[in-house]
Amino acid sequence: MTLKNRLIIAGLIGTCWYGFISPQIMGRIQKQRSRGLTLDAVETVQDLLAQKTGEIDPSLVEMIDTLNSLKAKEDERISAMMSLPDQEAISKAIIGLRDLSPPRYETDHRFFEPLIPELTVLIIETYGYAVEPLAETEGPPSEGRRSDKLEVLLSLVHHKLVSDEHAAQILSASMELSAIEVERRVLEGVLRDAISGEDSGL
Amino acid sequence: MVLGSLMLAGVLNVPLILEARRETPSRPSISAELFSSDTAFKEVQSISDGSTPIEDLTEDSLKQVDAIQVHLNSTSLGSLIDARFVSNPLNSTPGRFAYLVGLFGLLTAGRRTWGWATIALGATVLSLGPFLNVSGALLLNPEATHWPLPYYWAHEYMPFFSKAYRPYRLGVIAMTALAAIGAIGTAAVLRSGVIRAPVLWLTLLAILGFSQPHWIGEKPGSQPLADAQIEPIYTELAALEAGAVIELPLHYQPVSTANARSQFVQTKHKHPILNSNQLIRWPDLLRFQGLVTSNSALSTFVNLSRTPAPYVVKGEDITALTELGFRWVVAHKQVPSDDIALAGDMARADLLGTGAWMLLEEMFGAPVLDNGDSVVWDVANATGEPVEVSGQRIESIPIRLDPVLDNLPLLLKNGQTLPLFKGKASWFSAWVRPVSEATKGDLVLRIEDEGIVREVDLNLVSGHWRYVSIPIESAGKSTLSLVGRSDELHQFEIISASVVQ
Repeated sequence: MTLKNRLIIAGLIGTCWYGFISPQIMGRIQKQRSRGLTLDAVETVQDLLAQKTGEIDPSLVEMIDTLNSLKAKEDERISAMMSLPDQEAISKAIIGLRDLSPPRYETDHRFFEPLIPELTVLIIETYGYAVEPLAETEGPPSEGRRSDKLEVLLSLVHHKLVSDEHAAQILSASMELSAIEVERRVLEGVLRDAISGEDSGL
Repeated sequence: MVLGSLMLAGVLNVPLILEARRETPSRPSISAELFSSDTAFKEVQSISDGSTPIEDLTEDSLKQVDAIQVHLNSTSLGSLIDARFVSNPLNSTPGRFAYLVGLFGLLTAGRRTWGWATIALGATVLSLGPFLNVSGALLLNPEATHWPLPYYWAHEYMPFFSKAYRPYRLGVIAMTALAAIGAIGTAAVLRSGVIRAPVLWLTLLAILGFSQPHWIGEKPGSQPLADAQIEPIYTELAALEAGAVIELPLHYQPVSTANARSQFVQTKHKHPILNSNQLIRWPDLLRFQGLVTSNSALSTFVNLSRTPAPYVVKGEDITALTELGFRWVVAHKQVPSDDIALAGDMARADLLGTGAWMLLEEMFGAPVLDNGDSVVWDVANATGEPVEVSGQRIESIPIRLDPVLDNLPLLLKNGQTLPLFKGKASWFSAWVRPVSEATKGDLVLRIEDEGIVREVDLNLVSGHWRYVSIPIESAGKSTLSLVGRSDELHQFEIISASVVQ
């Protein structure tokens, strides 16, 4: 093989490795690393319970009810936030989704999922710290996936498509959401321990 | 020939064995279980960040800290694949450029480079540490622990190998070997005459290589250097009488840059100082522990910033400070903020709280030097009476958007408000710093009491934490809040806020 060909091969190997193969492998490693963070705690715990047979401890049932109500509260807060912007702003936000940076709290163990702290931080960075209470919404939660709705909210804030007043209300609701998630994570932990500790009883 | 050289080098270095043993007296016992234990990791972390009470340190716990260093200083497999040029040991590699140069040499010079390639490969495998860490996680995946890597066997069975307890540093050997491979490849290309204007290409390659620190990875060439300016108080301290200095807060680990700074400023004041090394070796640390735990004043000074009141110091221990040769106690109301070194709860490590300032005033009376930024007390002024600061009058203010606990930023523009406290208070104090380019007048404390509203400027200093202590002087209840007073959005941090009732 000529020296020229060897040089070409070296260039090709380098380009292929750092241009295509390495990012693919790193993506997989990153995904593997963040695996284990479950968003739908209620379903996870219910799945665990479904694998068990026999009578379920009433205290566990009560905890599952609390988990369900926390999940409903989270859905309500997201729906309330989504009710603030008009349809035109939402459409613009959907178009602008591609401009969003990857969530910076993806591997931060302090948070249950990365999008809510991302929303909180983005509002503070864009509009400053100002909070206004956001009234509860009535009726069923808005349709669509939770992560999609949170991404639209992120895009709304990123593109400054909400007013200062609405930004303050969204910040208030996102901080409430974080607090509810912390409560839910603690409760889920207790439930998991209870389920694994009562193997024979379930 | 090579063997003879190695033998000669070995014999010549025999006298250094004792020195090496003194530096690291025993090999840390490494195990896969230790590296994957959450409990062990937390214990080690709390010793490394200096939050474990010094009296609780034991030889075993300090050896465990040494052992975990082996894992935390091993390069992960993912990092090798990504090959970035970064400072975090778990992600540290020679970098893509070095690998590409090595690949170039390997393919152009062929078998002439195989020896160097073997060295590069061997050093790279060793830099992975004792067990395979795929993702660079702080805790080792339990599955990875079944497969010890060559480093493990070398650490356990090769004499003196365990002295190199930071595997990622072996990457330097790999880097050298890659450079040698690149040089051989370059020579081959030059001799072949295949490339037109080879000197031009080589010059370009050299420019790329030498300028690496300015464009690759974390761009180390662009990182800010430590500020070498010495605070004016140390010039005044140098003029005071002879006697050893205690810099507060006292740390038994290099928790922040304060330890290094206190050593640096000694070049100015030239008094002896307590804790003149970073105590990262356990025999030194245990000797330090023996000294400070025998004196209630010194043991109170350790980690004083993160230890809340009550503080109790015996009268005879304050007197004993003079007998031990101590004369001056230095504390700071303005501390350089270090965005790079600070992490987690270490942000509080250098910032003395309200109770600590009360304690120092009780112990030593009026300071001999106070320039508003730093304070110096004379130990000889102590009355020798026991001192107790109960802290009952101090109420800590939990702050939403605490930079350490919540990891959420606080940004305020004109008129935006962060409520702090509502109730009876005679003093407010806190540590504040501007993160962005905010300056004096951009952040104020609003005090509302008995229908009167007043605002006090927090006198922010760019690049510094500043201790603010503001009298409230109200008979009734007050409402305290932080208010932004700049038209631009600025980021601030506020921690250790409290009121004295």
